[in-house]
Amino acid sequence: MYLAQVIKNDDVKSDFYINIFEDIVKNHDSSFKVLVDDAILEAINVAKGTADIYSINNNRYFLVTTLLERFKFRLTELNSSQNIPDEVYPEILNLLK
Amino acid sequence: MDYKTIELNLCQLEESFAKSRSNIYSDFRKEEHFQELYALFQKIKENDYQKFDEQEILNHNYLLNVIFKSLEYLDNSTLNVTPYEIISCLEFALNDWIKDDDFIIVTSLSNKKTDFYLETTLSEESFELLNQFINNKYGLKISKKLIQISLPKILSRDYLSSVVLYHELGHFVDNQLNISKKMLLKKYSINQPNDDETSRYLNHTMEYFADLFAAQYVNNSSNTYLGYIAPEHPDSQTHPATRSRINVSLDFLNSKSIEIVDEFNKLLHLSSLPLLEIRHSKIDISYCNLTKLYPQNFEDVSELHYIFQLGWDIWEDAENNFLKEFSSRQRYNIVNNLIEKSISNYVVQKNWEDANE
Repeated sequence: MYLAQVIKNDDVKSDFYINIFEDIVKNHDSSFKVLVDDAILEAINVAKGTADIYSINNNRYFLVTTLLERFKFRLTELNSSQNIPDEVYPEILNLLK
Repeated sequence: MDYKTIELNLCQLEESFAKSRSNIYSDFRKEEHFQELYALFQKIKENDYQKFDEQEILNHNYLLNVIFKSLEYLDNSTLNVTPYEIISCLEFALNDWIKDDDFIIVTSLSNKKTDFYLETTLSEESFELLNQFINNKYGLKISKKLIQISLPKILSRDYLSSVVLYHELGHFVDNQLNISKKMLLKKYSINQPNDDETSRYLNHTMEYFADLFAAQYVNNSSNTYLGYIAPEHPDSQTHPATRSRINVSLDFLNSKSIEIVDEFNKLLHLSSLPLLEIRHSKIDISYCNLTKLYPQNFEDVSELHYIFQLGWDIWEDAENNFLKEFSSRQRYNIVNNLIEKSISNYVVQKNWEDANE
């Protein structure tokens, strides 16, 4: 096979999420902030055991599961009933990069 | 990677669009999809891509690859090429799982005899992210998602081997709904396999789901064909042993409680999705029209899916049944023609009834 490596879907998802998080960090707002906040809240709930892994929404599956795999300890410190603290977004951006 | 990559991709795409522009499709949605891709291509071409930053180049490279792949499948899904009957059956099955008119099943015909596979498709999440990017940048969107199925050219009207496509559709549904990936996450707390053990677990889970998905519709016929092309294949990194696959499907068809089916259904229930269950209705072979060399009539879609099992039963018993006086080549053609006509009659009639409702 000529190509040793094909483009992986997850790399691409990560690239697009980097764009979104950069926008949020830079502008403190973004048309996608609601989507991202929902994903973070869902990840918090799964990390704390109040939601089941099997019920994770497919629309944001990659982001939620990436947070669960690589950001779980921090998720357990966050409160799902409050707004996401501003410092969390750059932390996730670094994680995705 | 720099802007020259984008430039080369655009030049190659220009050629590709020029060749595809005269395609005639049986489905107007394919034509609309083609036009959307072309509009997007034009916008990218008019953009000042020489000034893209590294991230924009990466995103556009991916986007242009998506357009390329879509064109490849659209080119193989024109009026005279597309295997309309089997695609109609797959659309009925898909409708049980994903109630969404935003999908178009397209096929690519391969020259290799065993090339039945589903091209990695954009997940729901990737599709939305891609569209958000396109909308932000160009004010456009791609409204339909392609389900890209590759099948061997010489077998595109072979309805005995077409049962494999139900298995392939199972992979698509799994991929869209993250079923096997969720099971991996639950068992190993990872969202991607990271070693041989987890990779094997994910691969085997995906294969079992696709087998069970197919068995829901085509009964044991997918297993029968598996026995022809992969008899006694042992466990491998990518697939469970043929014997294990057949046993799991048979247990499911016989309504025996098995751990993997129970786990799939637990997940499907918690995700508010349909469960794995028998979705075909058996037709008694002694009374079926096929034995009189007539196309079979179906009461409903669940009987339609059973036509593949019926075809296999007749093929397997051809030395003893009404086909015994025919040569094997004639038997093969008769079985395939009868299945094709049976499906075609049902689909035409259903479309007619739906149009008059």
